[in-house]
Amino acid sequence: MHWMTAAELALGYRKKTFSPVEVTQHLLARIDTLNPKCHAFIEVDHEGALAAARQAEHEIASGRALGPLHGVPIGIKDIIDVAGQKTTCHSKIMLEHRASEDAQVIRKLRAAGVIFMGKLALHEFAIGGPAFDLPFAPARNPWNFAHHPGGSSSGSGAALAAGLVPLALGTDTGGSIRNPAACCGIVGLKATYELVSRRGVYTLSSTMDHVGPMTRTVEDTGLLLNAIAEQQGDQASPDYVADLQRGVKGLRIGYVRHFHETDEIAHPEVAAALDEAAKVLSSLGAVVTDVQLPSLNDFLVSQKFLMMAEGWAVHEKWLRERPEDYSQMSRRKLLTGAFVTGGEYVQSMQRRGLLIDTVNHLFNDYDVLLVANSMDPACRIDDEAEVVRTYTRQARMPFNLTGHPALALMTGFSSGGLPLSMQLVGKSFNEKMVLRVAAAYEQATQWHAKHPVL
Amino acid sequence: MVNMMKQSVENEEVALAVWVKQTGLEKTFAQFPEDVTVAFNTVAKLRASTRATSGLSTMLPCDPLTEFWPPMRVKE
Repeated sequence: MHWMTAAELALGYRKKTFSPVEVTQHLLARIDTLNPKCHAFIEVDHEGALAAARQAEHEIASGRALGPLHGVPIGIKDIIDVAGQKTTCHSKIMLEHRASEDAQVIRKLRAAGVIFMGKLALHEFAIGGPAFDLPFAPARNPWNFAHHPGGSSSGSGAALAAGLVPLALGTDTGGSIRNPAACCGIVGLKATYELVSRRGVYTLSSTMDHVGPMTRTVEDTGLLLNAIAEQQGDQASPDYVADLQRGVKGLRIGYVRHFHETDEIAHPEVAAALDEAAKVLSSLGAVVTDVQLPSLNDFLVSQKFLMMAEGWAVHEKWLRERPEDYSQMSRRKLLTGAFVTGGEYVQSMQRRGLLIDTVNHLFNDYDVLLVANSMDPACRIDDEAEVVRTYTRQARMPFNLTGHPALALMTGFSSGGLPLSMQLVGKSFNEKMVLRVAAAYEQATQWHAKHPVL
Repeated sequence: MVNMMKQSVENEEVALAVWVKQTGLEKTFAQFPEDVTVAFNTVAKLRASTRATSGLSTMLPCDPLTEFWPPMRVKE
């Protein structure tokens, strides 16, 4: 039952094969057993989840189902406000902070009838981790507990890969949904900037923060996005699962090979899996050709200056008055913003405009871009030097800078048995196309059906 | 003879001290001198990498530093 997708659970509820209460009880028991090993959850809301499950069961049975996610359990990254619960941001500083109201994304999920299971671990304030000098232990990778689950949405990735929940929310400022998706072998979508509301989500870098779905399948990602996406202007909201069976025949896919072949040389197994993914998409009828973007470093420099300055703007007071209450890793990362000049911030914004235009331009000729995700398989969590080295070896942050939708999807395993991943990037607000290509690849490869033995 | 290496280190220390004062981080620096220094050096390295690569690669169609902004759009 714990490996079932949200779509399968919804079907089971309709057919009365099992009930929301049975599913919730099963997952709570699994969390109690496995959380001491993977530390995915900071806090589990046993009572609240069971009460919500009973209510969902009653409503579904009386023909008042709210939609396909009604009665489906979800875990929430502990940087997102859920009314009445703590939002600690995995920090000592916010340890006693209790949210007075729901974040907008939570409000939408409540309307969809999901069951909130509790709050998930993260890297402190979505930047400093994995850290061992905080009130909560860092989450660990269910494929190998000695390894890093990625971050900053580390608990979200670990909870999904361990079969503790079928759905989770993450946030992504420099790749924080897609990094744990890569390390944990799940699906993570950073949707177009502001397609999902940031209201009630603790800020790291306001012009690059994104909230997004994390799941085990592309279909579940589409279903969750249906529930949380904001309407754009007077346009009717698209159905993000409508095109999943349409295949990729005739679609134009640009393969941004230079990111991982020359700009940042990827681990050979990562590179081989990307080439194989391009072949699979080609064999399914897509036209895959190499394309050129500005170098990774061009994106990186602007993204870094902006993230440093914007993070400093949020944390400046505490960094002056309570520096001892941060983990060392957060302190070192957040203090950088103090040394960025106004000129560097403005120049980065200028470059950002050019980079956005350049990526937009590419979508005149391509439907989707195939891009590397992490350049390495997940390293050991206790190898600080390797964590630092591999963290920046990635091709995720360009799309935080440009705001384009980017989905992380598993492409196989390393020789060490750890997941590998790619990104599919689309035109702004064309998540449907990204999900369509991802679904075709997923169906052809079936990587999503593999789970860690726990 | 002037010891260039020593002079460079001293210059960096002076620069850091000025920045710490300007940004009001005296208390933080007193408690965590190494962390503040690491942060300072991280930005210095990033700044150097920007200069070394002159910002954007040649494939970008215009130079933001020589054109008005906003608006600035990709030239066809």
